[in-house]
Amino acid sequence: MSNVIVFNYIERRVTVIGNDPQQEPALSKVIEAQKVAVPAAAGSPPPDKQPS
Amino acid sequence: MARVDWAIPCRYAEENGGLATIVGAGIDRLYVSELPGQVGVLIALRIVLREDELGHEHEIAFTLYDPTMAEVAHLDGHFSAEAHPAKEPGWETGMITPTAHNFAVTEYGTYSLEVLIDGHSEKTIPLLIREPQATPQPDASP
Repeated sequence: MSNVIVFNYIERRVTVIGNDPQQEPALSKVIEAQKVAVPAAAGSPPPDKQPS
Repeated sequence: MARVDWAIPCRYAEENGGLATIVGAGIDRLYVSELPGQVGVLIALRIVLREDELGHEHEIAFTLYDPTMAEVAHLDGHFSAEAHPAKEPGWETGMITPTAHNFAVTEYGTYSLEVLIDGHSEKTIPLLIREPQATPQPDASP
């Protein structure tokens, strides 16, 4: 099985599964994903604009 | 500049010996029975790098947009590649990598997944999120 880079937007992380050291050219490393703010779900008003 | 040669949404992909095996290439709609929901799709990527770009770290990033084109998520990581021992002088190095993308959807419509290499937008992949529907059958009557 070859490497698969998994982008999990729900958990906000990137992982590599099925690491295959024989793979050439190799994907040498995937550094932990930098966390970027995920806005509120589409259609939801931002917290400061919630209806009172 | 390192670039994406192709990015193919598919049901399954693996790399073996520098070649890709791809099943269900071109999938462009995902069915979600209720909202909010979660979907997953594989994207087979071939990234090509020039000789002087090998051995250096590069950034790969994906940005997810909802049907209104509002950014809903962004993830990035880093990679580097070395030349294959049999690489011919002057040839670019290709790196095939299956990527899996799991994300939440809150509405039906077309989500877009943008692929960026070193901050440069390379491809945008549309994915239509739909409610499951009975597939209309062709009229079999004579």
